[in-house]
Amino acid sequence: MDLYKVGKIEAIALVVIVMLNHLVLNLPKIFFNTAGCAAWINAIFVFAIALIFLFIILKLFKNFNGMDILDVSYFVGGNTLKNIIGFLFIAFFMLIASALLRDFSRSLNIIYFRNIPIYLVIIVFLLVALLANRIGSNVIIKTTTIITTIVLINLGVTFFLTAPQFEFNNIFPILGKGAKEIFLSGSTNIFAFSGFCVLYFIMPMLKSSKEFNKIAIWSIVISGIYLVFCILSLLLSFSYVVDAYDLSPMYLIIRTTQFGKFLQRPESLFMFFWILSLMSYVSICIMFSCNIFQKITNTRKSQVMAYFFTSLLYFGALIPRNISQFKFIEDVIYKYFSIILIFFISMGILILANLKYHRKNMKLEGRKLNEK
Amino acid sequence: MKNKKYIVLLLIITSCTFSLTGCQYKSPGIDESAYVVALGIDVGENSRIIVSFQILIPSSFSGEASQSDKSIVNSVECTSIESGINIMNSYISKEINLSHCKAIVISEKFASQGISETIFTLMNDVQIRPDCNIIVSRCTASYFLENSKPVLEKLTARYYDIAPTSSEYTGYTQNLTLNDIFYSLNSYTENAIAILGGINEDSNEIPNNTLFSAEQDSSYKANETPIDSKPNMENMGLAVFKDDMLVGELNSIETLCHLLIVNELNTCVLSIPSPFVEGDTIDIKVIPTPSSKNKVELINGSPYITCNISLTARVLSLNETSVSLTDENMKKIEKYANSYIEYQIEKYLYKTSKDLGCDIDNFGKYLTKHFATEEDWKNFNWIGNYNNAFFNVNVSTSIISGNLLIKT
Repeated sequence: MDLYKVGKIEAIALVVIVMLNHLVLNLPKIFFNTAGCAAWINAIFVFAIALIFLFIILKLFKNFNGMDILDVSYFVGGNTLKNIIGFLFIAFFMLIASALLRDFSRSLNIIYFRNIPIYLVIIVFLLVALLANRIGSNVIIKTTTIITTIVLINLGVTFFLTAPQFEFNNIFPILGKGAKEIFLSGSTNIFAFSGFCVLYFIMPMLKSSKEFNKIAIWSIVISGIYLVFCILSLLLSFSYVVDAYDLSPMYLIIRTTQFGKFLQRPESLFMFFWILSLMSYVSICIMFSCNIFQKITNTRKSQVMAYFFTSLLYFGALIPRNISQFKFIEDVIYKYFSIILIFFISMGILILANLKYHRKNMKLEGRKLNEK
Repeated sequence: MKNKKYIVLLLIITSCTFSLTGCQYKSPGIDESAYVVALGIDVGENSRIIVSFQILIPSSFSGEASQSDKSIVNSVECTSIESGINIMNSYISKEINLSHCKAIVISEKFASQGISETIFTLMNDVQIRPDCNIIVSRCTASYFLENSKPVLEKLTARYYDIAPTSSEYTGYTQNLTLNDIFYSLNSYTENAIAILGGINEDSNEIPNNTLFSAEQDSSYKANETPIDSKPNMENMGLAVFKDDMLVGELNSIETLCHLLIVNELNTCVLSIPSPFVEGDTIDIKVIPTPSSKNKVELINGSPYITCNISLTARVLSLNETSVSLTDENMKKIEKYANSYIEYQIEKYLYKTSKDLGCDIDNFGKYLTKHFATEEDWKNFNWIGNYNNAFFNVNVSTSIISGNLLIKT
């Protein structure tokens, strides 16, 4: 796959869109399930952890300028570790894309296409993603930049339009389900920042790898701010019933909000933008999977693999038979897989790489001293 | 060359979409659907419920089915709303569509048996909008729907849309939706309320047992007003629920007090006792100011609720014997207005607290900040404690002027 060089804004959009898609679907619900009306504190807490984590990663990547996590894995453990990490990330991208695709298609199926089987709805998204991947990564990245901007504006508008119905007493009792839930069980909600996975691979794609720090900080800050604001708008509008809904809470907040007598039923417009956003998201996941596959197999052109990954996504999205299986994949498998892979394994590799780097440097310096 | 390939591919995909029009998976067209503008729910004789549908007859001149002025009401006795819809689909040979449903009418008898199942089922329906009004009817729901014909409005759907908005300038009812009642049923801080509706049939007699003559025009409930007209829908007052069961009704002045407390009154006309002529009344146009505030404290385990209500008002009724609106006279009117409104609000609050045991003003939300966790709050059992509440109501009315005249 020809690697398109990514600019600063485009790179930020790539990271942010991962979070945005989860945000419009199920992320706020998970925060409410964990912490109740203290979901906003949990979101701020998780955001703070993500920032600390980000600064550690930036520090650890300092010695590996222009390299992605696969290059770093190769440096630590050779081809074996590189291949393991590569396949793990491909599995991760397939998992998050198929889970989100299934969730969104299910929502569309319930709201608009009740008579149409879900597999047809899924196919539509996958056809777009396949076509985009066949055309090239530049198309995906440029389109993602536009769509991310639209969705960011869209969510901002939602927040301000729902502001008149905010009830600030909804934030009480201040500790919601309890301090333990907010700060201990709630810390697992760090998986909300799974956009980190894009950061691990974006360095070689950048026009200027010096911009990496700025890109990483901006993308995580934007993601964090939107997470907190979306949770606050839900909490202040209707706190008690968020976890009672099966569908996206952001959709329901727009559905229940009246924008005057003239603009009725605006949710269709919002839904349209979210459909574009999901198409973009699925395309990105396939694009990164192809890139990783190309890197671990040293093939020259991996575009053809887009067919394989699209098929894999299709079957992956159809695996859950019912809501409980689907919830298990989303709430348990996806959550813990992303925490283990993004926040433990990758971090571990970066730490080991730095240790190896320093040991090598010390040896080199020792030799130089001996030679002198 | 590469671009040409993709253009051809896009053309193939686009042309494929046209072939999908004959696909077996299609949504029912407008002519295959029956659009319901109002849904009625009554207690059934043999089965559990009677579901009534007010269905629009599509006008041959209008584009949308909802833009019709003619409708029919069909009822079916069944075990659930969904099975009722199924039976009705079979009977009318069209698919019932609830996406234009503007009102859900529940009879008092049904409401007193519990409505949570109905409300949750309706919220679970994708077609029904959360902004659909919930009306508790003092007559049967089917009778309510049969007699709800648009007056001064051509379209049935718009008629239901506009009807509850009279609360904005009367304060005699509240625009309550399915979402509001669903929220209240899930809440630990408040009880649910719904619009109280009825069919005004004959001109009712004016009751003469009220304390003040000022109360006379504002003590009606739906179905009680002395209006001489053809039978038609009348929304006045509120239906109060404890848990999910109807436990009481509020008349128009009580509803007005409720709106004042929850800060949802835009403006209204109020008759207060005249400070100048005994037994006479003065009409004032009341506009609440945003500085109205409620405060809830716990004193010896009992809720102590302070309501500070601030109003501005204009004097509407003047006659030949009226005195000039001097500073001294305006202060007198303010004093009478304050004590009259305070009396009405206290009466209303003690009714909801002691008689009904329901916090419909959501006072509970002011107390949640004194509790650390949701568990502590639930254990406190606010709704159970509300009937121990005592109130302190302070009304501050500021008379600005008359409208055009200041003296006669």
